[in-house]
Amino acid sequence: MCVLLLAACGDNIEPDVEGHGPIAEGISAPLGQPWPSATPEQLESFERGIAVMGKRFSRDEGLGPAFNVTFCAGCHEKPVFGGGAGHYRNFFIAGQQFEGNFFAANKVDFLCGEASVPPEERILLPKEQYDPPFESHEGVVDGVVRMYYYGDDNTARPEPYRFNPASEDPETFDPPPINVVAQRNPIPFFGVGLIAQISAEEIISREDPDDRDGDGISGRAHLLAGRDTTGDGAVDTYDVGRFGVKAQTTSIEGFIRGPLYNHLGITSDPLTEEKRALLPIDSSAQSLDETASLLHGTVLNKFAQAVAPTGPNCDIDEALDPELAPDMLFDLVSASMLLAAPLFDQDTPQIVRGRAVFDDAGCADCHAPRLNGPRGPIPVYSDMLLHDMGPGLDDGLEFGEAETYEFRTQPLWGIAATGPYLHDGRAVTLEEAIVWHGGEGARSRDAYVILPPDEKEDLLEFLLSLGGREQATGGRLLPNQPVPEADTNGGPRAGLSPQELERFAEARTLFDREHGPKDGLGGPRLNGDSCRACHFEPEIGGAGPRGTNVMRHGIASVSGEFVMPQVGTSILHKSTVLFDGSANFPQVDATIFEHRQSPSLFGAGRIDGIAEPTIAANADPNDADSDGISGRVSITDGGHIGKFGWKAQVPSLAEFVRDAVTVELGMTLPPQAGLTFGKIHDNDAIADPEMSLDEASSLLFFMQSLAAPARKNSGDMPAVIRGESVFAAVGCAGCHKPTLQGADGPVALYSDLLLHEILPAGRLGIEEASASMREFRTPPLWGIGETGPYLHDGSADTLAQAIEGHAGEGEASRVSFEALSVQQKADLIAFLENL
Amino acid sequence: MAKRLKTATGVALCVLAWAACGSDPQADPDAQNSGFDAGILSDELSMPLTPTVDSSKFMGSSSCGGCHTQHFAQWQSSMHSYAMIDPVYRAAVKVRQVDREGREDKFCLQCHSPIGTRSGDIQPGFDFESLETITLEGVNCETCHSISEVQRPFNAGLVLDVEGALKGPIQDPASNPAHETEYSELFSSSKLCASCHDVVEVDGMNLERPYQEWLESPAAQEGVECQTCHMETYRSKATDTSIERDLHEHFFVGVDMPLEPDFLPSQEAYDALRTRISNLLTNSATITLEATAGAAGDQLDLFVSIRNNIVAHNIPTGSTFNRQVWLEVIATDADNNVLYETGTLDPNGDLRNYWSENEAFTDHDLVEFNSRLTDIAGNPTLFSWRATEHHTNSLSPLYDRTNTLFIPTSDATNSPIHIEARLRFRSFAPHYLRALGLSQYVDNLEIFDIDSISVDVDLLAP
Repeated sequence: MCVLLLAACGDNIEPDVEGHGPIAEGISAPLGQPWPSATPEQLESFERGIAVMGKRFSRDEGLGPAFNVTFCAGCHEKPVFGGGAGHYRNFFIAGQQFEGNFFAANKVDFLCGEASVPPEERILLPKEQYDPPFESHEGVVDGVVRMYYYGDDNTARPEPYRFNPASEDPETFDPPPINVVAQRNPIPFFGVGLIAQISAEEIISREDPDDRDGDGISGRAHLLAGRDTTGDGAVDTYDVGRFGVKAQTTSIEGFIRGPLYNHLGITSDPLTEEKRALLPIDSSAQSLDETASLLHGTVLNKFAQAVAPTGPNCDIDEALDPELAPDMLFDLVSASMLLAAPLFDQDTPQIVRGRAVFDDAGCADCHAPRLNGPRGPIPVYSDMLLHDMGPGLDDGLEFGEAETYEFRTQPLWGIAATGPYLHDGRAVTLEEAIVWHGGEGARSRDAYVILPPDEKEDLLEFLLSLGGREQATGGRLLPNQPVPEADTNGGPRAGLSPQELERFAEARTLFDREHGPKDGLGGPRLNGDSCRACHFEPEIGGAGPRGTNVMRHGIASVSGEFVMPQVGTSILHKSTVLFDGSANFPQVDATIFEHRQSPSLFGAGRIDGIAEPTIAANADPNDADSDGISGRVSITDGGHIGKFGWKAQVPSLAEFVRDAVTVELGMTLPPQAGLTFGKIHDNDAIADPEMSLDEASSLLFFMQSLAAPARKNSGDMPAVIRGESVFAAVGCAGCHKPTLQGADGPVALYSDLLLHEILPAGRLGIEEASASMREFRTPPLWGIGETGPYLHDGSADTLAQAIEGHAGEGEASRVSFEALSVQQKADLIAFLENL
Repeated sequence: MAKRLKTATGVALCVLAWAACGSDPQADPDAQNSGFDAGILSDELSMPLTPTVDSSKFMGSSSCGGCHTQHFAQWQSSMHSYAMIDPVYRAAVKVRQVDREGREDKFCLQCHSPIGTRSGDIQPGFDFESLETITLEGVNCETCHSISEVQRPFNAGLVLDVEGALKGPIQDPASNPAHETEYSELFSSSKLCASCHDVVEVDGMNLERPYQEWLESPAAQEGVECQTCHMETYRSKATDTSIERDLHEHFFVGVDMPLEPDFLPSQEAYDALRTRISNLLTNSATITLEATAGAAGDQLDLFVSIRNNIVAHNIPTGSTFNRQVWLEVIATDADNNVLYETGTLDPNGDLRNYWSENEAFTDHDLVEFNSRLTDIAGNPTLFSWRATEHHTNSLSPLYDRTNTLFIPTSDATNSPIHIEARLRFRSFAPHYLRALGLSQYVDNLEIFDIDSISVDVDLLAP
């Protein structure tokens, strides 16, 4: 293959951009900004594309059926759209390694129709008719693991190994359906348009697959087979992969459509040639074949394929394929292409010294300072080649031509603001990232290790000068980002003293701050790496989108009763700091899976102040008043009444903090007299406690001080007022009590904080604390207009869907709601959205 | 490739964990890299590759017993003397020997026989039958009384001073012809016990942590040490020729009855041990019941709170992954019909949970206080070296945990409903012994009741 290609390339021009010379003009800007050279038309497309990146896709729009995240910017958020994300957005890729060292495509079950066929006429063709023989999938890793699925059969998780528990004999393992699992941390894509413009020849010119120059560094381009242009039955065009940690993709469009499908379950058709010609970088006449790879769809919802699609893709859900409008795809691709190269700092003596250290240590041998593009030298600090990174980083996955231990040289521009580092995000600091280089990087690593401290500092300074330093953040709050006004979403409640306001701001930063494995993050598994990870809609302290749902699991006994798994109900964490590829499996016996949406914390301090007798006063466990609504108090440890959590399993905000820190972050806390939640030790190798009581009390202060949602009182107020009487007439207030008396006056939370049976009879669910399978705490409705999705599992996109999801004790109200006129329904929704 | 990677990770974590707990790996850079030699797990202090003590320098416990008759007799009936004899332990070690192909054969032994592990008697692939007598004495007199220092409070972090005087808590020891004697404040400290009673697995996973629990407990502030409860003070003479002093019992009373029927000399000795255990366990936790009166034909909500009365450590503590502490609740109506039961046993004597061989998951409300080991696939496993995670729900000192049980009353024919609750303890589960091929010992397992309580609830008119 190589020979063919080199022959096709003819004589290469020697690169003349060695060193850290001048760079092309009009390409650099702060992170997240478009090319300074962009035209007004391109800028408009850029703005529209950025808006699509932030768009939360609903299930009606085609999200899923299984997914990891609901919007592009969920994983490309740090420090701004187009960046990476913390560990909490890590995802898993799974595959099957067979003897003979090949991977099998996983669970490919049908093929989509062609793009020329109208969506409603597309037929899903059974796999047997079109799927090539099994072995022909060699080299295809086919399994982005999707974590979330709304369905009855199972959650979207990899199948675990199965074995006979009685014998515990490893020999009795069935052949594992999945035997390789690797983690990935989302990668930033600043400057990808410039990378796309670099010619294949420029990249190939740096190859040295046999290490002829004896510098210990080989490096080979990831060649992607193209099409048969001569019609002789042999593929005769190639391109060089340059996107993805294994350089497995060559087209930006493909690298956007792939994740859209894999992580969001959003299907799309390729752009037309006409559209491609209009992109900021003309992408028509691609060398890759589109007819040869009509895209597979996956019936089994647990996996999506990790390769970038070139043909149409499809899935099985209610929405017609393609689910993404061609214009939106165009804007997305356009905006990505227009993302500028990170703007470098002005040289200082220290940066200049650090640059010399960079060269002396051999870093520049792979992290090539400049590649030649049509616009001039592009300061990408990568050769875009695959290198052997040694056994320590080997992820066990073959991607196309890339071996398990081979990775693309990661561009260093913008590195100051785009941690964590390495393919799975295991490195929080640049120093860690450097010392964990192996294989071809070992020599430079060794050179680094023995550097005197001042030279290490110089090198670090140089790396930080490669853009993004001013935007670097420990979380998502940009430097000097103001605190929202008092009594607004995410702001403090009114009346805090200046000292308290200062403490609020500090506590907010702590709430936002991402923790790393060295801080004890993960136990070793985790759901979030910061509090903000799951509480940021619409502002920090708010709710979480579906992609941050946590998962509970349980076992249904033969008689249909709930049995808690040996590992507890909440073991199905999203991610893990075990970087050996260990995935997060459910216990094999688990048959019940239930999402938990992250609820908003606005006003939590007010709820905390509601006295236990106030809650108990509304309880009617035996429905003595025969209104069909019973309502039980939830009794938690120490005999306290539960107020927080979907199952009212947590009695106070202080306990909530302890619970969340240990269960979601996987961090341990010192014991605290009188409090029973929170773990004081875990399974990682970091000394306990991993978070101090000072930090916990700071987080508590932040949550206590968050302003309660205030009524918007804007828009169609007559409708809102009419809606309030509909609310009462339908019987919503039977459980959603408008106010409860709090410590400092009435709290307009629209909840009785009691447990009610709300799922249909016979539905299996998770038991927790006092709550039985179908019982949930009445969720407060204040602020609900801005904290969707709704219901405990986040399955409802709209308030109307949420109301329609009521059964059990809510059945009568739901039936009343369904009988309402269209106008009355709209009024009720207007009332709720105003809360 | 994957295997190698895993191993490398194991070493890194191991070093990290130890560093985190106070020892200083920077002091000796080579120590960090000496974790594996030809794949053999080692540790400079507790699992040396080359012997660091000479087993012939030890006299053996019977020599000590020549004069210290009381303490010797107490020790003989203790778990410290059972440490290398215990068939459960031996069987578990053999499983690990097979699983790890001998590479980690010293791991358990570093505490069960510090002398044998350091003298070179314990070698990869060793066989219990061919060990030296001094090794088989387990945690004998000279093991503890030679400790000069505790370098790390876990994984046999003790320093054996073989040449020096025997050490103890008596500040003005009498000189005697048999051996030199030296006061050490370590012997009144929990840290001495910590050196073996806290255990961290090779991969850094916390396995047993009574000392860490104690450090976090009110007892640490109040000066209540391990010895306070587990080595009670009594007035007597250490030897026939000694003066009368405050001495400490060397029964090291805990929760284990030896399953080996010939370990103790007489039925009386077993009875005495049973009494000591029972005294320790009884009322170490209390149950309170609170029931909401329910209508007949419906259900009643029973709130069961368990409070740990122990001020110094969790219930259970130590090898929590083996221990069984569970709640048994049986509800009957006035006509003695059983309406509800949880915490009762299957025909094999097992709790009806994951591990039950014939009634798995049939006890859906089962409340257990213990810990669970899970392997990389998220499944429960019995053995710590096969586990990647260790989840505990043991009850912290003075903590109070409330569980809600729903008692169906639809079949009740007569009020009141009588509810009996017991908090029960058993050292090992029968299925664990069977998994180790030790089914012959299942009948020797004993259950102790920590607390029991009952309540009668009247049904409301429907």
